[in-house]
Amino acid sequence: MNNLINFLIKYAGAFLFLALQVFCISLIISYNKHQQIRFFSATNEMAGGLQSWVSSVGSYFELKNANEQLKRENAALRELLTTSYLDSTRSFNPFLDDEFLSQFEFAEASVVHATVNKKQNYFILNKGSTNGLVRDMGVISSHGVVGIITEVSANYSTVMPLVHTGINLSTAIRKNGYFGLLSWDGKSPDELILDDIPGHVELEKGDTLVSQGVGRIFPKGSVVGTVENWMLLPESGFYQIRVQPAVDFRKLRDVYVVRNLLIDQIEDLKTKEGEGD
Amino acid sequence: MKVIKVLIINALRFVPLILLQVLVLNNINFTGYLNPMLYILILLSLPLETSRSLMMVFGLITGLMIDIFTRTPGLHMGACVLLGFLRPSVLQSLAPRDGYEFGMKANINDFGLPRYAAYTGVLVLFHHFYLFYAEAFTFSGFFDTLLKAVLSSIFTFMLIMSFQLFISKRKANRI
Repeated sequence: MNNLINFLIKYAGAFLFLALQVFCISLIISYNKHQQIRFFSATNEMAGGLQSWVSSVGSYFELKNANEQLKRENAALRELLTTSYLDSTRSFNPFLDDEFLSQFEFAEASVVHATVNKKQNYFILNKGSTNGLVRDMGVISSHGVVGIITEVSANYSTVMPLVHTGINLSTAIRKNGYFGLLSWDGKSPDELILDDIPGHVELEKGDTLVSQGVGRIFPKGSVVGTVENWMLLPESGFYQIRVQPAVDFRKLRDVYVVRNLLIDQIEDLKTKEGEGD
Repeated sequence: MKVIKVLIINALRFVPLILLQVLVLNNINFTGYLNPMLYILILLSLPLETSRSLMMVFGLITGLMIDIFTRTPGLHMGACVLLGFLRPSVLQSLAPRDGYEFGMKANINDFGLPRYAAYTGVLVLFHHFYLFYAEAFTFSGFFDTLLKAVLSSIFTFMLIMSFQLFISKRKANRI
């Protein structure tokens, strides 16, 4: 005990110095915007780097599944090739150059960190602004819609998945086109909720749900999930449909970030519309 | 009585130097590089007997005064605490063979030009390196920050030396 006290007294100056420095640096970080950004971007990179290392080790154990999935996807893509179609129209309707305008680009990315058991879940992807990612891009996997990018740093980005209580996705029933708002109640990552489908629509278990609209964030007809069961709300006359998401968020690893090449045009029109008000 | 006199002298040095720093010198910014920090003369001129802990507390207060005016909480405080921490060691390593005489003051008259220049130079360099790297808060652009720190150190050093020479000359004339 005496030794300890002597030690403390002997190095009192050094301890005071360290304490004061910690105090000053915490002041610098908390009250100076520039240093704060530097600090958090550095720690963000470090955390992202560590998590991506852990994830790269884990990915070896998933290789078999990933291969299977890639094979299936390759097969599906092969079916879409022009060579897979019988060319019956060309001789009568030669198409103009701009008739097929490329609208979507896909960048593959890996999930380095994911949470599924919170209310505000988030995924971290190993691609960032250096790879051309920006906020509000869509993220899909080979199974279907995953979520939307909310934050982008230099080499990593954060995704708000469908299993996030803040999500509101306009979703349509593929077979008849009725659409409503998809949300999540924060309970199970295997169950989403679709509201605002009118009561006269005929539903069947297993009906496919797709992203609504002509495709602003996600390509037209991206699969969101399938109908699991439903309940008619007597007071409003609308269904509350429980939806099985197409993506298993607990096993998600390889995703594609969707870039809409024409989104500027849509946004331009929207702002022009806004100015007209 | 002597203690009170020392207190008054240091207080009289404190206020004008802080005002000079925040009202005049902080507005000097040649080519975005040179920003002299004359105010550390307050800390350099404290009595030789001041203990390490007390030096750090004075450094904290002085830094706080500057930070209030430059709106950079913690930045000058940290640099001045470092200066206060190092000063006793620097003084010790520069001490004459028989130690400092009683009643000796930390100025150019009592120290002599070479010793005072070494004393000032070392402490100014440490202070400015801390200040400019904490301001940048990154090691990317390392050499750009280094250049800033070195050029500003030279400027501050020359300012402190000329300030001291000016005062000592005046005193010599009076005698």
